[in-house]
Amino acid sequence: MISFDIQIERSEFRLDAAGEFGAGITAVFGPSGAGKSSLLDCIAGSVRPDSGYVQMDETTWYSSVDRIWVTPENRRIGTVYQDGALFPHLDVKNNIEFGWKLIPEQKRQIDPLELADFMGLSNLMSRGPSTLSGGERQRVAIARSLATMPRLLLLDEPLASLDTARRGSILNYLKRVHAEFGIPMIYVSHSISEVVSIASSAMMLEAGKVVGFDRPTALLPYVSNSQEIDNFENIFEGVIDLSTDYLTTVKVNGVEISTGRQSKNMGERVMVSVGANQIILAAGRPENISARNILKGKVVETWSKLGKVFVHVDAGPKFIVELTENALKDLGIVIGCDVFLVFKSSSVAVFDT
Amino acid sequence: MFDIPIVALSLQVALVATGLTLPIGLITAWLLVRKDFRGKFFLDVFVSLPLALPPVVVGYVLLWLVGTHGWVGQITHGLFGSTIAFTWFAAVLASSVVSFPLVVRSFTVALAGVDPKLEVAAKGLGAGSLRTFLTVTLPLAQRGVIAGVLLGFVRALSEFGATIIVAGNIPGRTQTVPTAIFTRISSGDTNSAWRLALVSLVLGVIALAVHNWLLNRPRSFNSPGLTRLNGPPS
Amino acid sequence: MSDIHFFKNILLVICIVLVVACDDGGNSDVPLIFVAASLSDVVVEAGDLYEAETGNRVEFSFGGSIMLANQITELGAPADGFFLVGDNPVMILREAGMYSDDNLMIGLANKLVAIAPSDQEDLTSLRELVEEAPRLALGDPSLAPVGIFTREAFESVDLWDDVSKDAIFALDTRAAMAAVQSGNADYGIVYKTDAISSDTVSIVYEVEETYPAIEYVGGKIDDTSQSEAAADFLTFIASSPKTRNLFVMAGFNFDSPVINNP
Repeated sequence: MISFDIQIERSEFRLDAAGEFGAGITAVFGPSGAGKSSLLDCIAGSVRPDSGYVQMDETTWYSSVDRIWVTPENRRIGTVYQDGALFPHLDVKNNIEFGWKLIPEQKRQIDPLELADFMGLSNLMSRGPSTLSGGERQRVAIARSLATMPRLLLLDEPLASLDTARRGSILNYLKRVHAEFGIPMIYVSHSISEVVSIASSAMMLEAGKVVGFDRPTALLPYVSNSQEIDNFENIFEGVIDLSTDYLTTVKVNGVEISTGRQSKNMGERVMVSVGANQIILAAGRPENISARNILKGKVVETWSKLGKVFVHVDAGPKFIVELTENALKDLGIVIGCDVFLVFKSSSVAVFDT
Repeated sequence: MFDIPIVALSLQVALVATGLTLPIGLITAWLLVRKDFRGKFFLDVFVSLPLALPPVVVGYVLLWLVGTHGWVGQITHGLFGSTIAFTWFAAVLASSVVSFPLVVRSFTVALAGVDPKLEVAAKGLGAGSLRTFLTVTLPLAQRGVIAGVLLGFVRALSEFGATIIVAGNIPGRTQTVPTAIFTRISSGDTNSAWRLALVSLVLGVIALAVHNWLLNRPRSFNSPGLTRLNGPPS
Repeated sequence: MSDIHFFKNILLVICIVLVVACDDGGNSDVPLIFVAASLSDVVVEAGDLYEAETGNRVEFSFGGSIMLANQITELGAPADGFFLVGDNPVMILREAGMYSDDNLMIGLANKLVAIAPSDQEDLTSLRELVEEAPRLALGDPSLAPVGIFTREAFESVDLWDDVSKDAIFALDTRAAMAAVQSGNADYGIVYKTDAISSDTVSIVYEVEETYPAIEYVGGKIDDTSQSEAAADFLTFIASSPKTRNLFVMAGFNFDSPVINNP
């Protein structure tokens, strides 16, 4: 468990944040300039705060009161950056092994080749970073950090330079990494979709201050960045249930979601994504309608922001749906009432894991 | 052929001078690029000074320092009974000081071209400062560093003004190609002056050609950040 | 890992170069003698003879005598011996306490002449020279005694002011001669010995106007590491018939009033 309470005061920038993160995946999100990366830098040790402390389990890494400072290279923290920050003069194998080689032999906890295999990199080992795609680079970056079996993994906007298809895939890799190795992760992002998809708890930062710390979905009403909410994507992990020439269904949390034709096989694990503004809400089950996806669910929460209304519906998987004020009033939707989520199969995007 | 010992001495002086400026130049460049400290401005000016001064002035200042009356000179006189002035080592000193600004400038550009984020990443993976410098920064800066070394070597080889003041023009000890050419011109020995001038020319052209080739060669790897947007599916 | 090895290798190479270099550049066990420019050819030959006979090497540094004397006294040049011309250099050395009359080893005399490219007509006086308003190459009086002697000669007939305005001042007598040889000066005033040694210029006038006797003095510098070796060389060339002959053939004479030669 990592706990901290730090303050930075510069002419252009201030940060005052305190919190305790557990062993799961904790997100830190907020608009750009909110201080997310700086918080990460303070925890990592590449920036020294003006006052406060940073502590991991029993070890104090920084304390202004006790004048303690542990250098970054001694904190055993892994970091994954937005653009990977792979060493361009080394091939994939040497990148992954860079930190691993520095650990004395008897203390090494993992075999880099096995790790590469886990991350799907086995046939890329002798390639140079510049020849890799964005998703491949991020996977190498993750493998490189994991190879040192860090006590903590920091991820600074790791998906920001990837296109949508890869994002889902890397997100899934991260979930599997956490499940497999159990390393606590701090995940910084300005994308709420990612945060909702991956994190069990989230800290929301705005202008250098903490404005919320809760489950991600509970914080959604407080997100002020309209652009993020506009493009909210519901992202889930599922398994291909049925695959025919016309139709594919994916089972997510026990619920079947229809998508357009996919060249996938039954039993294959995939990621699916549905935009919040592509879902229609119905007070009763619609009949004679072309949309293939009609899911029953219960309204958990509603909130309005910047002229839009968002409804949080639990239909097995939990969806965020965007509505207009009028629609909400007309339908008389309140918390606790039953609704039906309606969306076309073509609105569902499917990604590889 | 009288020329070979002179050319050999010149090459020797230039090589040793380059050998001195390489590590000192690297450290200085690294300080100027990566560190912030009080007096950094003065370090920058001090390092660049020999570039802005006439070489004879540089030579005179050096002489003032290491000659019999200078404070370095008095130390060496006390220890060894003689001074550095008018010795082969003075020629090395003159060449080093004069070529130092050029070397540091090249190194600074080379080091600045390395993304500091890579160094941060290396530290996060457990590499200490020295290891990071040797295994990440330097390999990524190596072309610029080598080009800087070549530039320094060429400058050291052609140094005249400072050399003749602090090292004199003693054949066999401190007479380098440039000072030998001067003597031969002064005494009317034009043929042999031209011979040596030709040697100078050839050496200079070779070094500059290698320098330019190094800097213009296409890189074998791209710097990070140039992500392929339409790459193969991951 | 290979990167570290690469750079360790570079460092190793640098260290080797430095060690080898330091080993070679010392050379402080060979005497260094500062010699007037006008003596350069002769002394080099004498040095070769000395090495042939005794197996010992000597190194020289040539230039204008005043410049050399200053290098020794002011700038810390590591000379073990000297062979310079004129009063001033010796005075400079004496005043710096580096030389006493006991150290005198050899004395020579020389004469001043006017030179021009070989096809020129002879002159009969300095005044005639000046009237031709030529480009005139002279030694710089502040660096080379030949310049001082020249100045004395011109001053004795009140011509120095005129001449010094436009004269080409050279570092030493050889440089003055080079100016005439290359055609950059029409006439030059140099030592007789220099003029004799050249094929492309000839003497057009042996200066008769009054100037101090040109005396060369050679001796050791007190208390340097190789001063005895320097003294050995100078004594040798003053006494050995072969080397004495070299000087005479070049136009120097041993009738210097400074010292009684053996």
